[in-house]
Amino acid sequence: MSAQETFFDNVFDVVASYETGFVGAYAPAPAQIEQFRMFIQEQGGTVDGRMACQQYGLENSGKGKLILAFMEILKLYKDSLPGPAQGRGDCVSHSSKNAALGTMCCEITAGKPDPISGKLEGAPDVSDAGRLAGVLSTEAIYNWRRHGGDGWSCVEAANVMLKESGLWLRKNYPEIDVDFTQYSARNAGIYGSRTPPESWLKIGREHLVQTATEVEDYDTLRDLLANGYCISSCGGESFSAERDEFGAARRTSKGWAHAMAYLAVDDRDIIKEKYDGDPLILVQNSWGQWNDGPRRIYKTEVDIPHGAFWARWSDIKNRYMIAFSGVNGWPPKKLKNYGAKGNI
Amino acid sequence: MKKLVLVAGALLLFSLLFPNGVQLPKPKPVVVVPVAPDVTPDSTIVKLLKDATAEDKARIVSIYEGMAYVLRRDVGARLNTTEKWAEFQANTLQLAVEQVGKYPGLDDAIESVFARSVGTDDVVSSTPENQQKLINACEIIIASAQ
Repeated sequence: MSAQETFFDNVFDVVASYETGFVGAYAPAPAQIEQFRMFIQEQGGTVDGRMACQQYGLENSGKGKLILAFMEILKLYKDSLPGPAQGRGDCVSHSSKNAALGTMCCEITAGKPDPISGKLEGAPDVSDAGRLAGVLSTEAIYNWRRHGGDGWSCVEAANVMLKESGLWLRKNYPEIDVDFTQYSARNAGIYGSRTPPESWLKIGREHLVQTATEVEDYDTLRDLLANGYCISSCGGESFSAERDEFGAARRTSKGWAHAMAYLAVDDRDIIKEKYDGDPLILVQNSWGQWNDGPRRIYKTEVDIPHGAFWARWSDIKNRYMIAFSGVNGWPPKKLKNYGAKGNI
Repeated sequence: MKKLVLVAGALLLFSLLFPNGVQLPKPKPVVVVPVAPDVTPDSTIVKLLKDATAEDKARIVSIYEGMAYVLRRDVGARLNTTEKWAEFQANTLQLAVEQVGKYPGLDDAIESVFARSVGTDDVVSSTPENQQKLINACEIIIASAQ
């Protein structure tokens, strides 16, 4: 953690800072992990992702498949990825937001009714500016980090999104006198060691993440993503800014104390053959268009989002991973009509 | 050796007696007669189509039979919400109907049948129950146009 606030001028500054020891993501205190696990259990959730997959019959549902959860985000909100580049050390809130957005969009496009309300949730409207800035606010999460510097842990962010500040649409919030339409690194630090007031809590609790699970093995990661549960990860691994011919980036030795979201997985045999048996996981970074190289997914007509890259499972397996397995979304959309009006 | 000659002889005799093989009795095909659903026609649609040509009525019946067939085949896979259904119905009608508005009020009457059958104007998912409600609505329209 950095005790001082750290702002970045541009994408080169972000990359250079992370590559020279800036700590955007750190390991949480055991008490924080315990708090997270207790809360999930109290809510009737399952902390262990593998157990959750067994419990809900998700095992092997993604086996051998190419799973593109990010497509569901782009179906509803075109060009919303990669979203704005970080302007400070708030990667954890970007990673958490991207994972929650993925889960939210997958729930909507799958047409699954909300497990609590039983209603089908709709895709909330967001302005073009808000869409291009990533649909959901990261600042509304990061203001709850409870210290005055920069850097956070994935588990603390999950605790906040489960209890205090979930999904905020990118728009103006006159009731708290903050406009979250555009990303602002300054707005991410309105509060720090002092937590946001009741007025923030009231809005933040309207769309909380409903439950989350820890992910410790590849099969669980694959099967959760196959069912639309996207993942936020924290760790020390760093990757090349050049993607290879299949869009994958090799791991480098510099190391980043960083958080990044996982929004797809490629478990196809044709891919595993190319990477010594390793499947690939799509890592969505939060540095804007920071990397180069081919984006086309092998044997498809689909491109991965800008700023993303495929990573081998063996390169990311030691990261701390949390899947967001449900969000309290927005009310159902109203039908304009059933399709006959004006057509017969 | 003697046994082998006997078997060969039997086979030769059989082939001479039945040069076209033996006609085994075929099972009678099971004819499934579709049971007409107990559908009450919509009085507004019936009234609107009272003077419609036989060709137009047949076209409406054919369109909604087709859409009901697609709903049954889809089992909620593609038409997984009522919003998707609305899009599907709009696209189908745009392609199939030559003279939009020929029977003024027919579109609203059809809308009412769907709204009553599904029971909400929220976008809802195509659970088997909701899918059946959409099929029921199609059947009411078919019955009303016959």
